[in-house]
Amino acid sequence: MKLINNKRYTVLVVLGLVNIMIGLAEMLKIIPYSGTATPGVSMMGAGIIILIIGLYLSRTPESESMPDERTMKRDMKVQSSTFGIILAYVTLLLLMDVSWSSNSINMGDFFLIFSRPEDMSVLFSRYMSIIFVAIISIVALTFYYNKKGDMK
Amino acid sequence: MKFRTDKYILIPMSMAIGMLITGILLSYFMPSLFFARILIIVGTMLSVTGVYVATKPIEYFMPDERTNKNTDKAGYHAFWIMVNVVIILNLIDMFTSVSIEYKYAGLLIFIIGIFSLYTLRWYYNKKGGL
Repeated sequence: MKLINNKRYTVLVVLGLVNIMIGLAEMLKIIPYSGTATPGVSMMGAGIIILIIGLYLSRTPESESMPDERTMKRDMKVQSSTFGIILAYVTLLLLMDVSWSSNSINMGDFFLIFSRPEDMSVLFSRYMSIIFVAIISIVALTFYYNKKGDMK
Repeated sequence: MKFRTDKYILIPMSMAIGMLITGILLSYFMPSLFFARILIIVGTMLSVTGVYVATKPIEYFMPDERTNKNTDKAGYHAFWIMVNVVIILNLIDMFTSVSIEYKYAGLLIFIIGIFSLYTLRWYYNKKGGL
């Protein structure tokens, strides 16, 4: 069996290796940083995940890894719907931020994540919550449109 | 000029006028004018849009297959542009000494999203041959 059957995805393998190397360099303090969180561990984690995905995809034959027309149409519909969801979510967060800073409403501790982000560390920052919403919407909508069928 | 009076016009129009009236009432009763102003602006915009839509026949707004495809393709690319902007802002916020407040960045993300959607839709419309 050939090690690499699909050259399209070797870029993922290279990207994973580069990520792991940058993460290692940061952890060994070769690259300095000035932020509050440590990027080294997360970069290495992301690098390992990308490397595994890249190795898996580059070993599958090119004819199998190419998406068919239905999958492409479904993905396009899913991601354009997710765009709308994200846009609404960004607007909602923005309105919440503006209204809280102007003290026009006070929700107390009900929405702890949004009212006091410093308590929830970096994991639940507003930017991360947008990415979480995007990932969940993509998974849910892909499942829904796959079930529904009849893509128009 | 003939106005349509079906449920697709009457329900949104009544909601818009309701928002307008609620906004005006809130401006008298609430100390902060923030929500009252938003309700008045949105209510006015929806009423004007409703009057415009009521003058056109319903077939005028039915998108054909090409427009649907264009919108899907533009939305797909706009989504990735917006996600990339969010990821870059998140990385800057997390790993550098620069702290970006969401209050200002949120507006940037919103404008970039809307702008890329309309630009890409215009581009795919011009380009054709999807």
